Amino acid sequence: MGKSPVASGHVYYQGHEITNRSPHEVARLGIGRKFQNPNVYNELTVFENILLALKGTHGIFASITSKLTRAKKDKIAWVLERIGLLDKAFVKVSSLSHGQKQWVEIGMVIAQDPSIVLLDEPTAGMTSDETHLTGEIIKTMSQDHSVVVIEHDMDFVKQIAQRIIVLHQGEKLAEGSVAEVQNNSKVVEVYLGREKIDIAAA
Amino acid sequence: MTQVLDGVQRSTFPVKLFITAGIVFLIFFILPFLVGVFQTALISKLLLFGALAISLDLVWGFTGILSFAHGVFFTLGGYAMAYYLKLNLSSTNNNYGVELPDFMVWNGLEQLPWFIAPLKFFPVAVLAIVLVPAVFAYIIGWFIFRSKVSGVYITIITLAISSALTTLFISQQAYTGGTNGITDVAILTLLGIEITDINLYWVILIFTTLVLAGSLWLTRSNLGLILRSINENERRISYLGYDVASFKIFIWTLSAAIAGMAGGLFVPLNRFISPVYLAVAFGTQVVIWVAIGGRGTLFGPLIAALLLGQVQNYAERVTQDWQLIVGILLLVVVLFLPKGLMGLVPRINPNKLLMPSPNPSAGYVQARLFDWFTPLQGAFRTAQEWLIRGKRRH
Amino acid sequence: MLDFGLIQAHTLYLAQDATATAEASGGIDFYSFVNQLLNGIGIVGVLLLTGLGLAITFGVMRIINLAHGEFIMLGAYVTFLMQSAFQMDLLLTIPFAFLGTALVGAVTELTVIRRLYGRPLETLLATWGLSIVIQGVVKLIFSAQLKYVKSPPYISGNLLLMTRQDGTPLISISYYRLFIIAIALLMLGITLYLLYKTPLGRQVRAVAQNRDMAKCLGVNTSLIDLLTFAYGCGLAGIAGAVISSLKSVSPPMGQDYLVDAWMVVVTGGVDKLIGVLAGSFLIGESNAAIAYVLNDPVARVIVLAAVIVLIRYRPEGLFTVQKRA
Repeated sequence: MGKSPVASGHVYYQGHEITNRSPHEVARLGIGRKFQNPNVYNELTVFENILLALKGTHGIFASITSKLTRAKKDKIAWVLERIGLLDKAFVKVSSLSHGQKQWVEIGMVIAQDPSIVLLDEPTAGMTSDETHLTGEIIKTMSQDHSVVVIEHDMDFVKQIAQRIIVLHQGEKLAEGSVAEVQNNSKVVEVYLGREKIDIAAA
Repeated sequence: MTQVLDGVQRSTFPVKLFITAGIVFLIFFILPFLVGVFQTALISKLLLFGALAISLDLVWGFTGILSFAHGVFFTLGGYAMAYYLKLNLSSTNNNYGVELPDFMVWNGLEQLPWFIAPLKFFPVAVLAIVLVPAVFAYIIGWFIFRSKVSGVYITIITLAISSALTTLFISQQAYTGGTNGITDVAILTLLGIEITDINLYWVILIFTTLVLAGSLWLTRSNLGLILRSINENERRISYLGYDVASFKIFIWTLSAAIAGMAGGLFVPLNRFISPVYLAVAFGTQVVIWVAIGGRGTLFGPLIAALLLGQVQNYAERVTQDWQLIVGILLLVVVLFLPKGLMGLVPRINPNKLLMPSPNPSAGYVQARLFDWFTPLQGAFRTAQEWLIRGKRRH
Repeated sequence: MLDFGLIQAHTLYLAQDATATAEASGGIDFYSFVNQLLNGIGIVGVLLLTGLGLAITFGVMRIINLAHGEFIMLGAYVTFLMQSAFQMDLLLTIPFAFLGTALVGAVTELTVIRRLYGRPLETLLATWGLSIVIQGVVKLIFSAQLKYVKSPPYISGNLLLMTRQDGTPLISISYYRLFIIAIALLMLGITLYLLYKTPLGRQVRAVAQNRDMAKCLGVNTSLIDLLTFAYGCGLAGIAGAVISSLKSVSPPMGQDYLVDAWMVVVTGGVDKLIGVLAGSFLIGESNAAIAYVLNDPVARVIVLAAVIVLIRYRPEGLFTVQKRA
């Protein structure tokens, strides 16, 4: 969906075909994405990063004339509180830790107010404490949004997942709750066979 | 919980900055009475070059697109104006007593080409000064920014464009006046009044001031934030729903229009335009002003254009190797002062004053302590502290 | 008031000589067109020579070197110097041109390029500054006056391929053009050999592909960088020596070749060195052909425009394998 061309098949979202659509069109349909490594603006402040992600200033002229309204400030503060970086609002992102940068990016996704959120290994490179906090952020997020997380870390998956889909070699292997998946014989076989598995949790 | 962000305002009214800016403007305004005719003309020219440098700063400093083609946009505007002035020479001043410009007569043209004829009319000429460079830039921009072409290749394309247009203008002598360009143009007349050099100077001063103020305003809006983000990582911002290409095309076209206007004002002053200004060498000059002044600072490129022009004026009386000095300067800046001369200014408060920033939290960020590396920084610091002292109380 | 010392005296060097012959033979006919294409071979040789060095510095090392034209100019000045000081034959000056420019290239790498790896736009700016400095220094030493270099007598004249019954030439190509293309192909061959058949070349390619990994494997990457860049500059020097007698030698001469060399490299693609040959052939011959039908400047503009369109759709060049994003 923008990063690499789709080789075959079609992707639909809410009745719109989004196969090979440009990233900004996909984003505007309400899909928020975050990739494995922190992908944030180091030269900008946390506040500015979140501001960029807010809905409503995507047009050129809107961006020139838009004002920083009370509502926007409240929204940004609300996002910052969720990711626990309210006190770092005016710090340049470059001075944050790796884990905090990941949170900034999760904050950006929240600020986008998407209807579905796709997170690719949001805890990559985090300490276990940070991972746990991230799990709590995602759980809160899932109250308002549909969240799809791609993750290998089973502890983390247990923390956040309501429904798990196990993928193997691009095929769906199993689906269900944490307990169901853990007891699935195919999953155990592949898992113990030490093959790479991707687990999508929703 | 939102108290924390209460300090965030787009900006408090920077009284002292306005007063300073007003004083600087007034000094420039009365400058023609203080310096001679020669200096007035020189400063007029340098102000235009400064506006040109600011236009490049918008695309390079903020958005990260390095262009050697800004001289081209400038010159296209210049040619539009030159045709207008050439076609409005009174018949007594015209070398052959005919309507046709002299260079067309020499090259055997018998009739004014249809695409040049409308430029005889002032409104058409004014439109052409803005639109010809803007439309040309729009086409190029649409062509290259909506593709996977990136950074360095875009710069090489701008080199090729500059090179190709120089060749084209030199070769189409009958239409462009060839290597000599369009010379001996009429004096600009508005509403029946001949615009004297000093009037022209004021027009140019106001133009450059507007360009600077407009650019500051633009880059401090959300647009500036988006442009800087494109510069840092354009893929990420497209995942936030921004159409990166259209932002690039917009700023690129706008910047070309500004460059074209500067070129249009340049001709009545310079009294001729030629492919010299199309060539890569002139495009390089513009790049050098921005590099030396400091990318993304807007003030820097303007100051650099003014200062370098003055230094050059005096240096050329003693040496013929001005270009060598410029080359060394460029090397030194790239290697040791990546932020240009403005990088020497201490960053007490990077979001205000001398470092224009689209930071909407401008009023919030507090001054931080820095180590002072050079005495020069100390000097700047004193000046700057005075400037912002009033503002910090808010 | 402003003196843009760099302004190109004549940017239209490419097909100049070529059309002269075509016009002399009068009108558009088959033979003169063939002549034109044969003359195009000479242009191909020049482009290949000038593009080759760039294919090394940009293609292998990803350095945006805008001072490439100045290294060509330096090579030409070395030839001029050796010729005026020792009455040396042009052919004999070639090694000196190579060594001289390679030396300057090495100094450049050590003082400028080295500080800027991984920052392409900065490198571009710095090398542009460098090109201005080199021009300025050469102007200081040799003055801006045009210098002339003698081509060796034994490669003057034309090779007659077909003659009319009265003995006047119908199809011919000058020995000098053949000489240029021969040197160009020779240098291409040597470079290919060095790059693909020697341990050193293997190290160069390793550094180009994965610098960190190469470092871990014990490759002295900074030495490789130095040698590669110097070699690329040396090639530019050879180009300068060979083409010095085509026209005059002057400080701004390199500028004429810079844009064209870049166009060659971009057209051919930098994935494979052989792309340079394809790129120069395509640009040189299409320039010659269009110039025959229209005229030189228009041909140049059309070719440049075509290359811009090409970059737009295939920034990786025509002759590269499409890679996955």
